[in-house]
Amino acid sequence: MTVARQLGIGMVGAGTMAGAHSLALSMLAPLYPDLPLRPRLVAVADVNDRLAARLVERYGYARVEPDWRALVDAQDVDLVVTCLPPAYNREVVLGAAAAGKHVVSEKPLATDAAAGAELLAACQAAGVFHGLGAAYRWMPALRAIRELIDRGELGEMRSFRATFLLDYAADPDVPLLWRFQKRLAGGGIAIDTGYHLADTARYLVGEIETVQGLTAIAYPERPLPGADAIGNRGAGSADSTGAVAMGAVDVEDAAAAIVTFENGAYGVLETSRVTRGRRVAMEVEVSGTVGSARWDLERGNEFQVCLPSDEATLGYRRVLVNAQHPGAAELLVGGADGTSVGWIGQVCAMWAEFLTAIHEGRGAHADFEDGVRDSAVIDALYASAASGVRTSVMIPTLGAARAVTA
Amino acid sequence: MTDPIRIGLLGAGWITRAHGHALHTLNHVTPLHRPIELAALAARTPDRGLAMARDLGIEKFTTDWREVVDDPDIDVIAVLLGETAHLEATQATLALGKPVLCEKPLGRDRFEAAALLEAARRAGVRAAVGFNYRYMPAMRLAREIVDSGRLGRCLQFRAVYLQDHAAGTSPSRKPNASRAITDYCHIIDFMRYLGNEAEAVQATAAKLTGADVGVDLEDAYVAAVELRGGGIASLEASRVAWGWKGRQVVEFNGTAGSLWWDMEDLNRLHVFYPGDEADGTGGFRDILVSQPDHPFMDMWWPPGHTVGWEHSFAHEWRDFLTAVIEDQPLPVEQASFEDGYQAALMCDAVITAATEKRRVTLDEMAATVTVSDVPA
Repeated sequence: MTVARQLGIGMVGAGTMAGAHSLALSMLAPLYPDLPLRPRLVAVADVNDRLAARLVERYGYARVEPDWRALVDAQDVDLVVTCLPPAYNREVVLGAAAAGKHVVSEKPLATDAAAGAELLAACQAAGVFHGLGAAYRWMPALRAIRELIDRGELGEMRSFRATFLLDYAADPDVPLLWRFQKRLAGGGIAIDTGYHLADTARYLVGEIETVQGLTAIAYPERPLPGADAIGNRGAGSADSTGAVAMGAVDVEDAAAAIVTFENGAYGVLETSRVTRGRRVAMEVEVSGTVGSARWDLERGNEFQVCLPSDEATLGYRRVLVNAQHPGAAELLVGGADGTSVGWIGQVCAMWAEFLTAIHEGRGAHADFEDGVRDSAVIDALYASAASGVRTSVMIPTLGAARAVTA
Repeated sequence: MTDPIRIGLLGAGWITRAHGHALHTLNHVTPLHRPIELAALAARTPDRGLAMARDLGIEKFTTDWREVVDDPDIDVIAVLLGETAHLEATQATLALGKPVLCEKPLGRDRFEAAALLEAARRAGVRAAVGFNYRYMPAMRLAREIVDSGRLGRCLQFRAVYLQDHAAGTSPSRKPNASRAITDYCHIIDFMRYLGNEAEAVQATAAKLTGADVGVDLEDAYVAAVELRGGGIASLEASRVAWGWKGRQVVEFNGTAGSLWWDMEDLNRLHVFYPGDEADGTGGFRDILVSQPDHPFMDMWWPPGHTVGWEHSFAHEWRDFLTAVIEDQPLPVEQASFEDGYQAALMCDAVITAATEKRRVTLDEMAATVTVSDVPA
């Protein structure tokens, strides 16, 4: 029996998504026994040592590193994962690329497309692998829809509509986390969950040409957070009863946009973190000339599709994901139709694909170029919301892709 | 001007409002060859009856249903009384040779239903039972699909009818109190409507709430049914299932596909064809039954605009009165007194099985009844 090669993983940032990636990486070996390259959890670095130590203990990393530079330079770290506020991503990604380390960045890649292009160029110049944490692309149900589109079963794309609605910020007591500050996040909910909509739109329909957008702030002030606050709601923050210092919110809690695609289709996008009753509700629908398909994250293991039929029984079919759908067989650990893939499944599938790509010396299905293009859509949304004018998506000049050194 | 067809309504319960609404609607939406006139209403309680007559624009009111039945100006009788009064009023109507639409259940038991079936055969007039759900567009489409053979032979049928209106205060055991088995006989009719006849049944029933819990005048029952032709069926009804208001779900699993319907989402029919699975897009089709080619929908709105529960009554009356006016037989899809009698046989089989805790055949039930062989 050949022993799979191992790839040392270094995690920079120890918040919620760092936990999700760590869990997914821990699950890879049993889910994908034939994976040619296996992750080894080596080190974690975070400005908050307590959060870093907690992640190390929980997922069995070898150690905490004192800072990101030490982690990037460590001999046993081969791939650096960044789960940081976008403003902090730059120096870590540039440092990792300079050290010849592969990089996987959570979305958003950067605070804007130009900043993202710098990271892409650095990774290309260094010949390292760069993967974007656009994990929904690995939801088997969304992949199945993409396959239907690729096979032409829906016809020519006509329209796309998608919402990503949450309510974590509907409570005005949720503290002023980095997500509410332009300086750290680069924007508000548009650059956060709107980014997923832009990426999914590009994944299913094609490149976006123009954006007409608007943004809205629901609560212009929020209480300042405690030191250990993580997650959307600032879990671990100090109890905010009594007199609390407040800070200004300078980014949007909601955003909406009408977009046009290069292929002539149009799209309607909406995202918000103040929609009461919507927990993590991502809904997507594509309509083509002969068929339609839709998907809802709250029922993530199924999709609906309407294909040509006799008129009497024409209707959306509710398709439960099963082993015949792309990427699903490995995740259906029950091994049978009727069991379900959970939210973490897509993250596992993404990592399996990234590790396979690194092993094969090829690029990722979602890489930093996608990050730049997704960022450019959000840039156009913000510019349009500010000007009131429909705005073209401006892609910074991108270098030619180079082979990745395995 | 064409002579109107004059309807006499017996009873002033809530179901009278549904029938009256439907009869008014028909004149406006899809006029028949004779205009419908709601001519008279009879109800035991004057206050309630007068209010209902006023609401429905009916001029003649009486507390004696015989006056309405005997009135030579009245062409058609709708028996919308409590089930204890169905036998007498329906027999009196048929004895005068008048067409009758009798609400479900046809009689209190198989003996009453048999007597009415025989009376209808002797009278030779149109006689229908108010199994209105046969006239929901989605359920008619279900019947068409089953009849077309696309789902193959029935392997399993199941139906539930769950409500919670008695969950808080169950009716006490009174002689006239209704029982769940007959009250919810719609699901028994659905089983037959989709082509299934019962061979035998086993059942459990219970009064589950209130001080006098026991086995008679049940709040809920479950029945396991052997179907002629080899399939099996399950039936369940309850008036004490908290949270469910009108969860009447009907499902048919055939050798070549399945379908299901839920009254709480009544414009939709869900159909599964295994052939759809070949390319990874298999799944129940969620059909919004609203296209002009869908049953009854040509008389309503442009495609995509839905109908409600009440429309089933309009469809039912359109077929019934058309048969009366044009002197045609009832459509085979409409519930005849034969269907009412078959439902009563099945209800009695379920009651007997639950009471005597044994398997009961439909033949056993039928053997104790005589229906004279009068040509229809």
